Amino acid sequence: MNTNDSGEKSEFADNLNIFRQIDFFSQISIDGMKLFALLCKRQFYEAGDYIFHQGDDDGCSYYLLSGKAKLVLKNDDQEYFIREYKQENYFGVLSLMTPMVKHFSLVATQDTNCMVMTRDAFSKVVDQFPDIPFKIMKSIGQSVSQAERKCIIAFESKKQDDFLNILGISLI
Amino acid sequence: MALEGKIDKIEVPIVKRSLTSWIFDANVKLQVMLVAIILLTVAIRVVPLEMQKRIVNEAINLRKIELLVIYCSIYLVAVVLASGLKLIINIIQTKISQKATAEMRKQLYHHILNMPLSFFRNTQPGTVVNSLINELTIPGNFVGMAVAVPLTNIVTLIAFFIYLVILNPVLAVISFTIYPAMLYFIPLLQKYVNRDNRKRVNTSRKLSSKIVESISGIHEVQANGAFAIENNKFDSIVDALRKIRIKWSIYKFAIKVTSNFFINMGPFLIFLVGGYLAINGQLGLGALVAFLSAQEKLYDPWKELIEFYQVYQDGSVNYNKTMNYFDVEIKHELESNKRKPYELDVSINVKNMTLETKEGVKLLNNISLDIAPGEQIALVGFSGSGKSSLALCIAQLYDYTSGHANIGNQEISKLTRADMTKNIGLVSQSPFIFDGTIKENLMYSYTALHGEDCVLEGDCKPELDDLVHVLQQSGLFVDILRFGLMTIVEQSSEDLIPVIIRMRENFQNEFGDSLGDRVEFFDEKQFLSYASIADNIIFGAPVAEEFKNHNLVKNKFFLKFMDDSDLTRPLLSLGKEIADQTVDILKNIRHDKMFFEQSPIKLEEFDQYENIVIQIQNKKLHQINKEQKTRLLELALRFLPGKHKIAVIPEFLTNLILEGRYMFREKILQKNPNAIAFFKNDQYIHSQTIFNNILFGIVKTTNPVAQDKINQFMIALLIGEDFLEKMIEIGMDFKVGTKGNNLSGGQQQKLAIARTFLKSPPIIILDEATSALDNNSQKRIQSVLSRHWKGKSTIIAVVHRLDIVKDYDRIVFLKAGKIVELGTYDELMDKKGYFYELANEHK
Repeated sequence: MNTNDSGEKSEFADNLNIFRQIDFFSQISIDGMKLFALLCKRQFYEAGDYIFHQGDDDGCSYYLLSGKAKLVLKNDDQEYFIREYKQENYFGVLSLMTPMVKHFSLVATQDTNCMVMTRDAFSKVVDQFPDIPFKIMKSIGQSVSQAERKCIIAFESKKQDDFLNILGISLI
Repeated sequence: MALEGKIDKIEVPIVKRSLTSWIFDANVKLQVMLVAIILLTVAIRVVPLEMQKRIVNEAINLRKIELLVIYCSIYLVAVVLASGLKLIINIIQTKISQKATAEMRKQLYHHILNMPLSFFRNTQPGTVVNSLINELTIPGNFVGMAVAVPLTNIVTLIAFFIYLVILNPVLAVISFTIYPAMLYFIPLLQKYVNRDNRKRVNTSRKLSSKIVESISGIHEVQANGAFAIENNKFDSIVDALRKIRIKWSIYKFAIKVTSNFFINMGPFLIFLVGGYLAINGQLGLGALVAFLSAQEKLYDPWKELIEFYQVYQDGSVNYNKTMNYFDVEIKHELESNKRKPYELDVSINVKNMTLETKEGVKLLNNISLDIAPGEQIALVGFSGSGKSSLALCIAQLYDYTSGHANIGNQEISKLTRADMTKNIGLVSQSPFIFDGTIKENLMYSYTALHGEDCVLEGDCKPELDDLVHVLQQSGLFVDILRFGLMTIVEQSSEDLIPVIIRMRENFQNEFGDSLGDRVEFFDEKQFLSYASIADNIIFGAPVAEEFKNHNLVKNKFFLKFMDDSDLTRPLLSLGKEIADQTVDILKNIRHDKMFFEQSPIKLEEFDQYENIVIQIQNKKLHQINKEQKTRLLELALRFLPGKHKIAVIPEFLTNLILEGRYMFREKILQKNPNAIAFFKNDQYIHSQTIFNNILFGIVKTTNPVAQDKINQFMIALLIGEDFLEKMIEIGMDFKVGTKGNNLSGGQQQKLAIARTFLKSPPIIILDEATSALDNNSQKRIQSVLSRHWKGKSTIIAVVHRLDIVKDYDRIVFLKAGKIVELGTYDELMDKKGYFYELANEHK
């Protein structure tokens, strides 16, 4: 139904498939998911472009359709590499739900295509389906809990480097 | 004399004036004229009575035709004259009352604008609107009537009474006995009318406030689905108002009925007593007729007097309720009559200053702080610490309740508004942007300082360079440039066109290659993903009305062309897919404009298309009717593949469209060569913005980084063409919309900062003025402040982001209304106290 006569898929149909596979959204009714698929936008970044800046509240979540990007932390003119995001990674769901500043910058390391959802659009969908935040909350809770577990394991085994996995928890 | 009158007016605030003081206010001439006309009118009114008597007694009794003609003529002239004069009285009366209403509104509005901010925190705009618009109408009417009505009618009554006494004293006294009775009963009833009128005014205010509240909070109401709650609140006030109005009207009618009853008693008494006297030969028939007629004529003046009495009562109630409501002490004079606004030495000295609410909460507690001229101070603290209150007390927007605060040794509470305007500029956290252009808003504070006359016509008009300078300082420059570029050139600016065409060439030569990924250039060999299907086929701007996009589906030539070029069926199929998809996604959704951005179906068309989708369900393309086909074709032609993500255009169709493009051009050039202005490299496209005209294409991306790059290219080009200032001028005419709705939150803040910079006051107060800006803009403005404004203006900034406070000379840390730390950044960091902790928390 979302494909035309020649079997080509519309961007909407693509988006819908992606949302189905993102953990945070998987519990949401199909009607709600359709609105998300309708309202999210594609954004293209050249290698070297900043996708978001440390200290800004961009109010967006991102799904990488293609390309790669690095998460970096700048502190007193020092730049620390935190981790790399690649195709099929999704992050930033908390930014949809509440105003919050990004604590890191994300820089495209290759030409990168993103599917971007904004807080504005998110709240329009929530206006229609008020139960959505509760469903997303459940997944968020699980993610935080998992992160904490990893942290405890790292703490117990005194592997300091594994703490890095926890850094950027606000970007779940 | 005129000047004295003016000063008097300023000294007695409107809220202290009585209603009666308006009667002769600047109306003396009109009122005197009115009195003269009224006396004349009353004299003329008695004439018909005398003529009636003479017609019966002399003309009819003596059977003299000529007397009949003479008396009737006099009668006629008197009636015509009386009517004419009555009209003149009404006109003068209307003039006086409208003048009074207008003057009351103006003065009250002027008063309200200068009222303390605390008043507005507890007042809904609706109450003010209602007071200014509705409640002053009746008091105004009263002022118009105040001389004319009582004078006309009382003199008329007296004249009639005297005339009747002359005719027959006994009968005259008897027929007037009804009036004292009325004078007893009517005021009795009027008390109830007044009581209910006061209730009505209160309830109307509540109702206005309720409406304003729910309309301002409509977002919350809809988001929470709180329709029933809000409806109940509204309905209950309307019901209360209905009950009050019914009672109020019943009492008013009771007065009317009572007065009518007594007036109808008049003829009864005259028939009884007058008839008896006539039978006994003590009263002539003519006199009886005159009595009856006079009795009837008494009705109108009496009725008018009663009505006037009611207007007076209602007017007093409305007027006093309104004035009492706004009778709040004005703490600060607008300006002094005796001196020009101070140019203050801008050292600020605050000593033991306290700001206490009525409930006894100390928002500021015993603050002492000295700020040297040119110093830059940051106020820091948790929310609720009093940092904003302190800034607003210095700006005279809050009135501290004890202690002292001086600017240049002058107590702030004693300064006039004009003194403050002269010396202080304030940028608040959520600045208000007024409907109008960017330029009007940019000049707002500057104009308020220098006066409209001087700025618009006089010597104070700022240079374009000054405007550009503050736009650059506030970081608004690029935004304004974009607004300029996004303008569609009007016919009046045709001289721009050759320049723009030249810029197009240069732009393509210099930047064309590097922008290929981000811009879709108008290339006749390429399908444009960011233009509609119709634009792709026509590939030009329609000149002839029938080729404008919305008319294409009605255009027989175009429909035939689509058949000939095999486009009809695939487009119909596309249109059907679009309609199916859109309806499927949005069928059970409360509609919002945002949902329709990805579909060519407009919000208001949704229901129609939903019906069509239902009707053509399970039908093949050849089975659907003509009207449905038209609507589906319309959708397909509007379809914009790069934007409308709900459907996808098959590749064969893009090829068909490209072929169709050539075919269409061939055919139209034969039939009507001037119908379309085709996209050509050397031709201006009137339907497109300046930006798209220079680009000769459409930007594909919404990515801010990419847009920045294109903007940079564009600026480089504009500078090269010496066209930058012109574009800024065009951009400054951009309409910001109601409350600045067409601007982002960041742009609004930048505009507010720019308008304060333009005014360039000796003291600048920034109340979290950069909170809506992104990191970079915030840092830029901070660096402008600490470099450019250093030493020029004293700056007091309420800061919530600690990464910018390093640049300030001193930092004041407030906690629970008290200053707990004060010093330079390094001092406070070394101290390892509150500030140190907060700064670390932020990191």
